[in-house]
Amino acid sequence: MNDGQELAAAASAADPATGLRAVAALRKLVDQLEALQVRNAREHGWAWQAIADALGVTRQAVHQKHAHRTGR
Amino acid sequence: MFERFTKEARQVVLATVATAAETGADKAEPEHMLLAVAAADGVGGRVLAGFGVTADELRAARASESRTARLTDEEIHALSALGIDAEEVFRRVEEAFGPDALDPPAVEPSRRRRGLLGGPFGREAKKVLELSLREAIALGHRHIGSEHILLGILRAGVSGPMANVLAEHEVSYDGAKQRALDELRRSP
Repeated sequence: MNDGQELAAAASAADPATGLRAVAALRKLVDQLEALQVRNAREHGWAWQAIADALGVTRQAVHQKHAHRTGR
Repeated sequence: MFERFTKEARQVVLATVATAAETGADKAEPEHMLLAVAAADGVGGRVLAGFGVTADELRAARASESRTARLTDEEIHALSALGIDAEEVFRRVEEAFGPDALDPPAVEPSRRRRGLLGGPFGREAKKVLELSLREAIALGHRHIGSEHILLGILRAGVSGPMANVLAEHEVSYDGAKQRALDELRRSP
């Protein structure tokens, strides 16, 4: 972490606006990474069940959320 | 509701649905309609061209949006306050999966086209279709052309980077209306 970032962190880590925004951003980031990783796993021939197990969710949940995006 | 649409306006409607599907959007939005009007060689397209707005510029604006749609600067800043370097995450993802890996993949149009009436249009796009009908009635026109769709779009308003393109070229509802009437007088 560089000086600027450290300063920003020190100044705003306890600020609710920053904290909440960070949580929302993290959620967005997770969604994007999940879509990418599921797509990649499917391209590598992973079954929906295997993907679901790795994500710790049900097969139905992962299929419903991602099947339309991967086109399968 | 499409019976009064000109052939060209129907093509704009079809192109709107196709554009939305290409970008992987769930529903067609006014932005997709604007792009379709600009890309079509009709009165609406000529009005936009008169302002200096081209389909290419609108497309470029949309593309730049999809690259930054991941996270805003504020969000990246908020994450760094938690000690998470989002830029570094993006860098590693691009290294492993390529530059567009986090952008939603294009969806084949046929998979998304669930019938043309109502289905593929989002709420705002439906509003634009209604407004285009109203614009035609208000102008005493019996047809609904791409110029009425354009006026409907400007009434409803577009969001995102395409709105910036319109603002940069000083496209206004009143100005577009005047240009549309001029166009129609020139080539009825």
